[in-house]
This record gives sequence, C-alpha cells and structure tokens, in this order.
Amino acid sequence: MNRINKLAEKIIGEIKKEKIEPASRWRFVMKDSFFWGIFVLSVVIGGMAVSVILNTLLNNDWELYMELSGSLTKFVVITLPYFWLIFLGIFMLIAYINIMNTKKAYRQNFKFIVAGAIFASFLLGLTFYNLGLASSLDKSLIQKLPPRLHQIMDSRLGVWQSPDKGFLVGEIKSFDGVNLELVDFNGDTWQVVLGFDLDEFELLESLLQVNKKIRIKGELDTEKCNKCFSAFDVRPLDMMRGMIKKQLEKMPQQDFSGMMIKTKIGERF
Amino acid sequence: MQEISDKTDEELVVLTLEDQDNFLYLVRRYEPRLFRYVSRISNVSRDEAEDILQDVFIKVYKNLNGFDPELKFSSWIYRITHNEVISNYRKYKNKVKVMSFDKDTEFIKSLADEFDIEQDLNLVELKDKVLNILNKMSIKYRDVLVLRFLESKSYREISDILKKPEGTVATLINRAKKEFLKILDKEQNHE
Repeated sequence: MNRINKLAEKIIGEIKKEKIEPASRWRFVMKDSFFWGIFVLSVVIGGMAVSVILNTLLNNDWELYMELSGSLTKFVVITLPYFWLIFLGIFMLIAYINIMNTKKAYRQNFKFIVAGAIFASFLLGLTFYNLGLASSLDKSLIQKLPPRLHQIMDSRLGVWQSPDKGFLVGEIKSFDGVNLELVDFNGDTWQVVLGFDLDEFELLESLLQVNKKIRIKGELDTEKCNKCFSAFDVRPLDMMRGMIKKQLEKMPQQDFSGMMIKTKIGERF
Repeated sequence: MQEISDKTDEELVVLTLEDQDNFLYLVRRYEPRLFRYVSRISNVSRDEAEDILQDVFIKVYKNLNGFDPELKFSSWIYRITHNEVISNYRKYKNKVKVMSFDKDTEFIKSLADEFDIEQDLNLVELKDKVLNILNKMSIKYRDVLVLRFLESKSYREISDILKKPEGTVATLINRAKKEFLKILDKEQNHE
C-alpha cells in the first residue's frame, strides 16, 4: 500500500472509529443566519444612535452657542454627542465582524462594507428621527438614567451645568406655581423663582412638574441665598423641542419667534 | 456507467454524504496536492504534514454540509488546509528550520522564471537560493507565492482560499514579489 492510500485508509479508519458524522445542514444555515441577524441588528441599533446624534445636533441650542461656550468651534467640540458616536462606532464594528463571517462577504472590499453599514444606519437613523423615535428613546430611556450617566451620554448637559453663567439643569423636586426646587446633576438643591407669569405660557404647565428634567436660563440670585436662581427661560431637557415648537406655533396670541420658549424677561437676551 | 473516481468533486461530496466510504475518493484525490501545499508553505516535517492533513480531512468531513456549491470544492478544501496550517504554525515553526522540497523542482523553476534568477545556476544551486529566500519570507507572502505560482490558482481562487477580496490578493502578491526580490538583492550583494 503506498503512502497516499495508507493516509487515506487511516483517515477513513479514524472517522469510523470515532464515529464522526458530518454536522447537519441546518447548523450551517443557522450559523450564517445568526451572523446576518447580528449584522442587521447592529445596523438597526446604529440607526437608533444616528437618530439620537441627529436629534442632538439639530437641537443643539445653536442660538445660544456664544453664551454657552464663547465660540462656535468650542461649542461644537464641547457638545458633540461623543457617547453616541462611540456607540455607533462599536455597533458598526460588530456589524462588520458579523458580515465578514457570512459566506461571501470577504469578496467585498472592507471600505465598501463599512461605508454600506454606515449608510444603511444613516438612512435608518433619518427615518427613526422623522418618526420621532430619537425623542422617545431620549425620554423613555436616557432621561431615566442616573444623572452622572445621563451627563456622559449627553455632553451638552455639562454646558448647561453652569449657574455662574446663567445656565442650570436638573430635576424638579417641588413646584408651587412660582417657586420650584430643583436638584442639579451634581446633587445640589436650588431654589428657583420663575421670573415670568406662568399663566401666559400654558405649555410650561405640563413641563414644570415634579420629577421632570429641565434646563433653565436665568441668573444667580445670591442676595437671596447661595443656591437661589431666577429663571427667565425654561426648556425641557429631553429633545422634543421640534414638537414643542410646533405646538407653540399653534398659539398665535404669543410671540415665539425663536426656538426658545421665550419669556418676557427672556426676550432681553 | 461512470466510475466513482471520475466524478466531479461536487458529485463526490453528495455521494459521501450518502455513504461515508466515498470520502476515500476525495481524500485520494486531494491528499498529494494538499501534502505538497502544506510542505511548501510551512516548515513542517513529513510526519507533521500528515498529521495536519489528517486533521484537515476530518474537518472537511465534519463540515461537508457546510460546503457552498457556488464555491469550487478545491478552493474550500485549500481554505481549510490553509487555516489548519496557520493555526499549527506557531506549534511547528521552531521545529524545522529548513524547508525541504525534495522533488519540487517545478516550484523552484517556476519561481526562478518569475523572478528572473540567473539561469546559469545549476538546479541544486538554484534550489538552495530560492529555498533560502523563501525561508526568510513570512508565511503570508510565501503562501500567496505558492498558491499563485505553484498551485496555479487564479486570483478569485486565492481570494476564496484566503477569504480576502481579490484586490487585497493582488496587493499581497505584489508585496510578496517585492519582498522576494529584496531578499534576493540582499543575498546577491552578500556574495
């Protein structure tokens, strides 16, 4: 028996001795489907991240950039949604790894696959954004996170946590119609006095409720107390300003010319 | 009636799934080619190459249902072999220092032609020279040179074996050639 036959016989003998059987076809089908499934899921999650990024960028208090940070570049650098960009990057990587494990993906160029996944996520993100998913996601998930984590996920909050500059952000603990108690993201409690008549702004009634998170523009009132603040402008923390703006536009008796929920005092700005 | 040994690889796969004894025909058909391929890309001894091949064929048998008929069977089995060699490479690479191609004059001549190495050298000198260069190359470059110039695989087949896009394969072959010529130049300057 020559060497080839010897090895062939040895292999067949081993297969028989160990009772080795070919793995079933469905296992391979399942494996391929699994990789495709994770790829699709990653692109969808990437799409959700894109929708939040879009929401953040499009509602980034651009009209306040000078007051918030001093320059446009600094404002962009400070408020870029890094968490979501990294989140998107991680899911694009997961999508790439999984698509590369499918049967013929290796034939495609790396750049095309990555660009394709990002493009698909972007399209989905745009759709999600238009469907209002980013706002819902922000409201139902992100807002419920502990303040520290919330701050990491939304880098804009750091900018709003500047009482010295007239910006304050936090959660309402109590509200009596004029005064509200607010706990900021550092855990400090603030006594906030509304510098405007609430009756003129129906929409704010639904906003100014216990446990709601808000952003306030105003000024420190140190004469009164250390943690006292006068509010000229109040806006929700979540990213529903587009919706609010639409509602405000339906109220012809008031002048809401900008994106802000302007108050009489607030118009000084 | 057509003899089993005359059947195509793909037909033999189907027949093997019906009766495992038919796997013998696939093993006999591919054993010499894969043995040569393993020896050419790695520094392993004959016994170690046989061990690798045994593992390869058992993996092939276990994964027969996963064979994609849109792919050439030869590309698929070469891919499994390539992966097996790579996963064993660390284990074997320090054992045998000199690659030996006893009867592999075809490979040597093929590479010598490709790189225009002095034709006045006798076969033994030529073999020494080429082997010396190949031994100094990394396995990834050696692998593509072997697949392209000795196994005569097309870019598409190499792409299927290495699971890389054809463009990347072309780049790898180019880099491997440059690497080969660089070492050759160095060798010649030393002489």
